[in-house]
Amino acid sequence: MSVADLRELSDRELMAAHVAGDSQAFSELVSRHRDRLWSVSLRTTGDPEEASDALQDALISAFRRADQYRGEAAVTTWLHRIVVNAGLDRLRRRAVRPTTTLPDHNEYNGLEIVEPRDAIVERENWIEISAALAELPQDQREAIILVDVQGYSVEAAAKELNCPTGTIKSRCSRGRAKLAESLEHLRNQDVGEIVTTEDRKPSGKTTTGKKE
Amino acid sequence: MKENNEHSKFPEGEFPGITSDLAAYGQYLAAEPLEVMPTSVWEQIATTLSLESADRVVPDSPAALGSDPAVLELDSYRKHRIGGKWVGGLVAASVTLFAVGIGVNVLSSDPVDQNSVVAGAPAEGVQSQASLAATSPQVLQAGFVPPAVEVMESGNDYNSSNLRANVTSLLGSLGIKKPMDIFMAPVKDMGSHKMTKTTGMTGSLESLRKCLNEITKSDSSQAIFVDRATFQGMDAGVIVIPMAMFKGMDTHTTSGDRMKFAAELESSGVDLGALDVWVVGPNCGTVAFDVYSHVSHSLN
Repeated sequence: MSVADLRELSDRELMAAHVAGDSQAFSELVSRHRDRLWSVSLRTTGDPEEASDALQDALISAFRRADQYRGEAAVTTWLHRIVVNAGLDRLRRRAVRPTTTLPDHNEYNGLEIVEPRDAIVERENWIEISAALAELPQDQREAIILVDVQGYSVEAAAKELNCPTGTIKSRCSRGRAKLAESLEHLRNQDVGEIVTTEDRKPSGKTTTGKKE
Repeated sequence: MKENNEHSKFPEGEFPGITSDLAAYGQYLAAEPLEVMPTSVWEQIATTLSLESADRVVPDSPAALGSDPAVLELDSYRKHRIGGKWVGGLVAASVTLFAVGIGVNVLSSDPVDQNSVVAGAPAEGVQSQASLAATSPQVLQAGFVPPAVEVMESGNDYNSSNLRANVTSLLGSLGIKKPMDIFMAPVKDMGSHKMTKTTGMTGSLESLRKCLNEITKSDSSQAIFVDRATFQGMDAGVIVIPMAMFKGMDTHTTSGDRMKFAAELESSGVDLGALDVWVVGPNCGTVAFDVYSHVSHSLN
């Protein structure tokens, strides 16, 4: 099948063509959604280099496991989950919590008042959640990603993971309990706090692990 | 993407803070605007997938049957694989720059067009099914459209940074410096350059024809040039095809028709200088159509 022909196919048809042996179908599928997949990987890992490696891991995995795609969710949803999982695996293998460098605020002379839930703080929270998810056992993490992160119903998640609904519920329950503990500090943030850039300057770098 | 319903909120009231955080996290992951994937990342992924595809053996394929000598080249790819991960510089792509300009009237039947070769008639210097490495006189079979005006081994080592510049340079050496030159480009016989690589896409006119057909879905398409070179240090091929000539031209248009056609295209706003540049694996047209890079370029 030519590249032009492949471009006319739907995502599902491309998956089917790939499984049937077409050598370019999967590349076309990835090319079609590459910015979305990259964004998911980058947001999961918080680091371009890790994101690149994680995305590569994910796509090789998806390439090889394409025959396991059940067609019950959109292809992009299926790929999204694999990319998130690969990113979280990367975080877990990295062993230490990720760090992020804050933007340079020198131009503000330390007097600018910013909202505590600004993009940077929010970004730190997402990285915290990524790191906490990465530490969950694989089965619990899979269930949490499907049900709580991607919004699957329990029944759909059970079909996707090929296990009973009770198992999904159990895994989610245990996973949530662990997350509640590891992310407790996020729930205790004083949302009324106002911080200045001076408050940020001393380190210039924020470790996004558990806060003291 | 979301398939949320009441079932996903079980059990009632369990860690509501966590579940709302996770839902927000999910929205953050999927939210617009999307980050644009860097070209270098895309090239690495495209290469990985191509190589992964090359590793996959489909039953009854030439690779499975081991009938094509080019299959042996796959081993050289695998040697660069470390722990299941492809290394950045491994791109063993054989960069083939195909100018997909069909019908540069290369096969014009216009008897006054001294630059054209008549399709359907034997043409000296071009040989179907012959290795491009051969230097002996070649004969073009009736109905066979040469897949490229020029096939060469420039010795260039392409990468994403120098790809367009090298293409422009090679086009210049062929006398193509502005868009209209594409339509006026003299047709040269394939095989005019001695090729040292005798397997894969430039191993024969047929394999190169099949490779171009994969790209253009037309057996009368013609690249401006094909350069069997290296991409990031490894065997690859580069193919350059003019976009404007891809539609509307056939192999029998005369030189005058060609120019008239070009003028009409230009007046309708078509960018005559737009080029499609493909970097493909050395087995294109033989075992697998592997694309390592695909970029647009323009003579404007």
